[in-house]
Amino acid sequence: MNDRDRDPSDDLEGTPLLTLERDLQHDLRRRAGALRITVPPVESVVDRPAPRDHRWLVVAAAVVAIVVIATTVLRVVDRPESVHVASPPPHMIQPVTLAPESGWRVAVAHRGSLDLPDPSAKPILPPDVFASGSTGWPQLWISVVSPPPAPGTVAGGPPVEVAQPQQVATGAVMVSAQLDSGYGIVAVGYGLSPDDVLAAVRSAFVNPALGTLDVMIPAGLQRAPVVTMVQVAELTRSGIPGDGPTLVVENATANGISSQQLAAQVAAMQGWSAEHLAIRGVGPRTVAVVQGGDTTIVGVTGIDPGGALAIVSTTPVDDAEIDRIVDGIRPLTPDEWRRLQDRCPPPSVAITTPCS
Amino acid sequence: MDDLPASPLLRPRAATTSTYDRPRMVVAAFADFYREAYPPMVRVAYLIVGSQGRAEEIVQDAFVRVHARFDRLDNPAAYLRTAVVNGCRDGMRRERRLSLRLPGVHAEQERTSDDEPTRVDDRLDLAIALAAVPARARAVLVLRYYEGLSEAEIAETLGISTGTVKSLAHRGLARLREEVAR
Repeated sequence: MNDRDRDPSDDLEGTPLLTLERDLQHDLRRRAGALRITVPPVESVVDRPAPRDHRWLVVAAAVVAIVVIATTVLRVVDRPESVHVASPPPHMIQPVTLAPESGWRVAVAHRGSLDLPDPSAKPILPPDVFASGSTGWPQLWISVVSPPPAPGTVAGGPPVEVAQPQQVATGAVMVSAQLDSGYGIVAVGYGLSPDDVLAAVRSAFVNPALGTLDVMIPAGLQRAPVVTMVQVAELTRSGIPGDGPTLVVENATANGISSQQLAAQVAAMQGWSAEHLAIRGVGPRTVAVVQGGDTTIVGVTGIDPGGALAIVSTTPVDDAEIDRIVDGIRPLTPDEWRRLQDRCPPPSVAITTPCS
Repeated sequence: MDDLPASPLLRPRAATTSTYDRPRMVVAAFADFYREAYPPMVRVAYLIVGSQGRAEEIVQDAFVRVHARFDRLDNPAAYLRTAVVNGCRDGMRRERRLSLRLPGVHAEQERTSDDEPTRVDDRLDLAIALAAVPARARAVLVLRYYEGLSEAEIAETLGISTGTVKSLAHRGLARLREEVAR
């Protein structure tokens, strides 16, 4: 059969049919015409229920599948790369330069994996940023440190080495700090504004020349939803109202560290022996101020119910003395608290100015 | 309408289903449409699927669909034709799946085809040879050379573009040509 054999007499759409097409048309008509068709009663159609159309189910399933797949894909695509910040052992010290000219040092170690969107975006801020306010969300704030004190003393020792600042970013809530190479403050803020963190750090700032601060945030500090704020104030004998140096530690935490633990740590890091240390729970939000002789008072409060009072004496304390002290505990009046704060104002840029 | 067959459809009913609430004129119009369109649609389906029995089933199913929305259709004939062609294609797809799972059953169904290859005027019966053409192309050829539809009408019926219609027709004819050349 020749494809070019057109029959101009037969044309469906203005195009002459090929012989093949013409034969096909002929055969189709002949074959269809040969059928004997009996039209069934119309009831055979109208009495039948219309078939259910389940296409909408297919469409709905397809839409759901597409949404699920798209959501999954978007999650994978949008998920920030999980950044594993170098996790030194809990006790590994990583000195960090904050203010080299000041000669102060800080040593911080943190551990654990931190899912950080951009680990380079939020470095630890140097101290001068403390004064100017935070520009972002560094959750780990480190203040200055001074050489660690020898046991039983409050200061001394050479400065430690200096290294580059740690990189800490938003969400850095898994932090532990080991500050046994120096004094420091660690404030871990989460859910607070940078200004709140800043205020906490400022208020926690102390004069390292006095050698009164050393804080360790245990490795158990994880996902702290609030600021861990440690405030230490050195009170002179002419200050309120104790006769000896008084260490007031406010532990505004909800991070799993009890005030007792913190008090014990602070006292231990101060080099105070257990012989001279007694800790008693005094309830939340209590600042212990006790007057008396040679006794050094360490007041620790917390927003948790386990506020503790640590008592450190220059002489071994006995239970009776402790009970007497505890019985004498009372909250600071606002005026006393204000005077306490005035005694040792939060340092700003003048962080080297002793609080006298 | 008095001459219409007695049917629940046509009898006044107190029932409130949509079928029985329809105006009698619509019902009568559908009956007329059914009687008129049934035979040619069976022929179209028959040419596509190759079996009168299956063709009648397909056309009846299509009429059931048309009936369900007859009073809402602007062009019931076009809707019916599309339903028939789609029914043919669905049926052939089912058969194909069945043949993959149950080859014996498929072979049996193949043998139920009404005709064996024959010759017309000492040449191959192309209507029979059409069975060798893929389903979509076969539908295009039937609609074009039996129904006499334009490419645009075929495209609308099958829900494809006119370009696809041309391509399918070309491939279908080429396949027929191969059959003829054997």
